Amino acid sequence: MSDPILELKDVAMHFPVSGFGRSKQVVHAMDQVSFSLQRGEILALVGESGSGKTTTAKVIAKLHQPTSGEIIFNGENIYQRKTNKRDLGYRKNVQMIFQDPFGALNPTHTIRSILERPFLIHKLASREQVEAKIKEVLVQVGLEPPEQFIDKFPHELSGGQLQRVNIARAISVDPILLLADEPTSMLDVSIRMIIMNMIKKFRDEEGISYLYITHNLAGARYIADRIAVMYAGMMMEIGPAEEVIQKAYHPYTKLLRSAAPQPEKGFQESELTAKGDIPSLVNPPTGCRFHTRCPQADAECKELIPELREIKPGHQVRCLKV
Amino acid sequence: MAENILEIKHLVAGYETRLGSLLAVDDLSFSLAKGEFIGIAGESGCGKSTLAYAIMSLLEDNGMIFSGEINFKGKNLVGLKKADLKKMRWDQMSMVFQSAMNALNPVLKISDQLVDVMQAHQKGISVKKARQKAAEMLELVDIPVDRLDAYPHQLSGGMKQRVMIAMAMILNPDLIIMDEPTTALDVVVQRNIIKKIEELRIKFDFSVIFITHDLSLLVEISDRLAIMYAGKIIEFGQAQRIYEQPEHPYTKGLMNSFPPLLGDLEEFGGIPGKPPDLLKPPAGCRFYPRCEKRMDICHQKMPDLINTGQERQTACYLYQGGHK
Repeated sequence: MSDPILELKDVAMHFPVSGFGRSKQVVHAMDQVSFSLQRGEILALVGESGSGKTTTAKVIAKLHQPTSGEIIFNGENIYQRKTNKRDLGYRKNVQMIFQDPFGALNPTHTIRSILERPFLIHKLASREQVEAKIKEVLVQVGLEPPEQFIDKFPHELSGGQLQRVNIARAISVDPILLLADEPTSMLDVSIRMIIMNMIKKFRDEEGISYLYITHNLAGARYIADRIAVMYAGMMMEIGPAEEVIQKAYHPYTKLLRSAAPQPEKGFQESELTAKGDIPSLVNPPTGCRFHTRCPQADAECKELIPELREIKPGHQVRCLKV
Repeated sequence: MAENILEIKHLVAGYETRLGSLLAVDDLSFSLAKGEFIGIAGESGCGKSTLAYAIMSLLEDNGMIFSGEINFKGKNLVGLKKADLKKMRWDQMSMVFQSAMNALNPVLKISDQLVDVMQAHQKGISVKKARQKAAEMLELVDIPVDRLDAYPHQLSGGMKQRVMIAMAMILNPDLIIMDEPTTALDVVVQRNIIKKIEELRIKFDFSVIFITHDLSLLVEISDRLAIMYAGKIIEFGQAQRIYEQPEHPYTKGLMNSFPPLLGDLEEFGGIPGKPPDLLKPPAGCRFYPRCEKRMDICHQKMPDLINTGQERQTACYLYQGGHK
């Protein structure tokens, strides 16, 4: 394969827990996370809440500096390159789409003023050109005719329309990589596919790469080339989308699969393959982080942290029993 | 079929606003048999939660039932005195709210909250007895008895939701309305809760109205399914049959909005446009502006919900010979 656009090498992110009598404890939000993303690829990151998906996106977006490990973007370590404080060059290349379309847009600004900022900050258009540019990008996300939307305030638009504005803001600077953090989970069902298809369209037409965060396995399969499964801050399985769904190796991936709604099957047939809750990440379990819930776990799993091993070309699994 | 526990006839409910009356539930009729599990699906703003609150007579101050009947165990609840409603509520019908995180009082132990429910309805029950019953209920929903004196913040989201289910069941009601009980939860937790509800329903034979926008889940768990759009039921029938052969163009669009976990992956499209403003609903069929198959007649009059097959109803002119 060609050079990856993004590579994470052994990234860890620990947040200190503050508070009385709890000094020096940390939340292990990410540990030993390594993966790469090719140009024009959509990688879906799936897992339950608290598994470290959003932290992964934020670390890549330079919103948190990781505790250790390297993040290479376009051949450069993003935390070592010399840059001014705002690092506009990187921010132009890497943009984020947030989960809550209502919260991501300033309610006191018009769509015009929300969308002109990226053009002006990144000096991609002059004051005179900016209106034409905004209209162009509104048309690209299907908000037509743009005159109807440009002077509206966020509260005058529906959730689906707001998420289109968010996408417009992200793509307006011609980014190379988009970090999409559950971009459809707060939208109505009938709108979700439209947003997902739009994301795919920008990949096909503009070659944008995506890290697509979701908890919906079926959605991940629909949109992504590859799926990465995270649990309790660690990557458990990563491989081609179809393979991860159909021939999952890791017991946790199997658990997620068994829990996902499957209307084509009757209610009685789906059996959960594991029980229990996600562990505390202040004191994560020793050994494999999934061993507390895993039906296949034995003494070895409690002690050894399994490596992420290649099972097949392009398919890696972190499990001692595979 | 067994006797009907709930019969809703031509219910019109909604809200008085500065801009006029908003009919969130508009001329809605259906019935629910004892022990039956009915799923109500629809997008935000389609009136599904208003329906739930109307059945419970829990509409907010500006909300009201404009007309129609809600016959519960043979008694019309519309116009019933507040005191009578209060006595019946929770004892005979209860509700599990969407955000369990906020539905429990954060400063009271869950034991106190469960005991409260019983003391309010069963005069003279001792605290000791009530606590015992509370412990039994927690056990039923797989919460260890030693959590009885926990505060809500000490429990996980899934556990709080199970406490809510225990609370809804504690007086052994005939009907439990569940308004998006699993929406805020992770898939694995959601699956556990769904299984628990199913298990308890078979054991205690209560009826369930389960409201959600997650159609893929609903198809899997409901006996019958009602699809709501802009205040109206537009399709009604056995869940599996609706999944296999949706009739209404809106239902078809919804089915085309979630890709399957297994099986073929074709293009999925969703439904362009957005639901109508209920203060100014479109003339004729409410789905008309978004419908791919619209005809001239569709914007003249809202089609009635008519039988299109065995235990199957659809409100669409496509199934009424194109005219009326």
